[in-house]
Amino acid sequence: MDGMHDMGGRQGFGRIRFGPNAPVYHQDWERRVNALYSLAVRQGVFNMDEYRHAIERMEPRHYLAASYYERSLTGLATLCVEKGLFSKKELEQRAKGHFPLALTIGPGRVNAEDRERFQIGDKVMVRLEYVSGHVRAPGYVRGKCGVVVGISPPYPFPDAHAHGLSADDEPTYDVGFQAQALWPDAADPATVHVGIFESYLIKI
Amino acid sequence: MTHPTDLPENPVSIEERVDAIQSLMQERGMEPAAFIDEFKQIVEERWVAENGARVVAKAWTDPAFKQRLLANGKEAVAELGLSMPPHHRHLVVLENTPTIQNVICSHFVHVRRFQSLAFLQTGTRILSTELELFVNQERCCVKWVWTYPIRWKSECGIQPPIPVIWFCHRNLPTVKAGAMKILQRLSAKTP
Repeated sequence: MDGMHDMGGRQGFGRIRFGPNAPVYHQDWERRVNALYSLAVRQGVFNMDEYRHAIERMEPRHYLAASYYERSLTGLATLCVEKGLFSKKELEQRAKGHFPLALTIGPGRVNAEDRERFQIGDKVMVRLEYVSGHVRAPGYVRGKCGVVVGISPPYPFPDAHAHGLSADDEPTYDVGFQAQALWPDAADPATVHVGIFESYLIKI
Repeated sequence: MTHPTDLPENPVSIEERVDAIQSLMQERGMEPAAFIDEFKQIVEERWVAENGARVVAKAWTDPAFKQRLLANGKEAVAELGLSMPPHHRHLVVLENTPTIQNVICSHFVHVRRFQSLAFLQTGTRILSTELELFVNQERCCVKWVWTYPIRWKSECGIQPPIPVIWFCHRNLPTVKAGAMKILQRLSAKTP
């Protein structure tokens, strides 16, 4: 999904605020949220791909204004309702007010029919496609070319796994992109290696 | 015309929302209160920077271990009693060298915020100014973006005090400091 969450390469954020000794949790409710969604995953209410996509589906203004753990909470609540653990009505009665959830999920997709295995050294291009459901390729590599520098073992294919579809696990390929190919006239010489699922790539 | 129905106007407080979910999960028999306690203990006592420090210190001092770590991180850290859940199938360890500096960008959604163009495009310059970290001009900076939960570590392959780059991991300075302390203790014991 080409949504608000896909911020890689976006401009205008200003200086990165980075604190080396930042606390893990700023408030106790954050630790509770982390525990509650971990519990839900552990008990099979939903999987991690569904969880990520639930967060991606948040209404954009809500997503941008929410802290990390508020997003986590919203993803958790949305999936508990969608999976039938409780209803939105029950949730809002219990909370005694408005509890914003993510927007409705759309269709997913299975493995690409024409996907092929790659070897280290292969020149590849990320398919120029706009996927409405869950997809794990950041927008800044869409349509870009790079070289396979590594191969990682198979994992569940997220585009299907986030939508309850059956699919084959796929390897990810570490594709090395030149930063200056990703952002012409706006990058220093550097290599960006992105782990990319097999179905997202074609050989060139 | 459709309207988004879940605009964030006037939601109840975040704590009330968390309480509501926890209370409903309790009613569904999931025992959230007990798990919250268990999770607290795990986060505070088991998932600690000291784990990384032990692994790094051992890799610095035991070349055979370092090779095992680079070949299969999950099995190697198990030698030190560190385990990973089944769905984290692999641990990938990368070695920094005098010419290659690895920087890891997590797949976590919230961390994408840090992948602004300013960070991604200017590589070493941003690392040195934004993170106040000196990177030798001759070094090549390689950024790794894992889009799936293969756990990663960027480790120092040569003797300290070369900085260990482990961006997006808030425990980086603690891990390095911990590893240095372990080495000092080991040196003190060596005649």
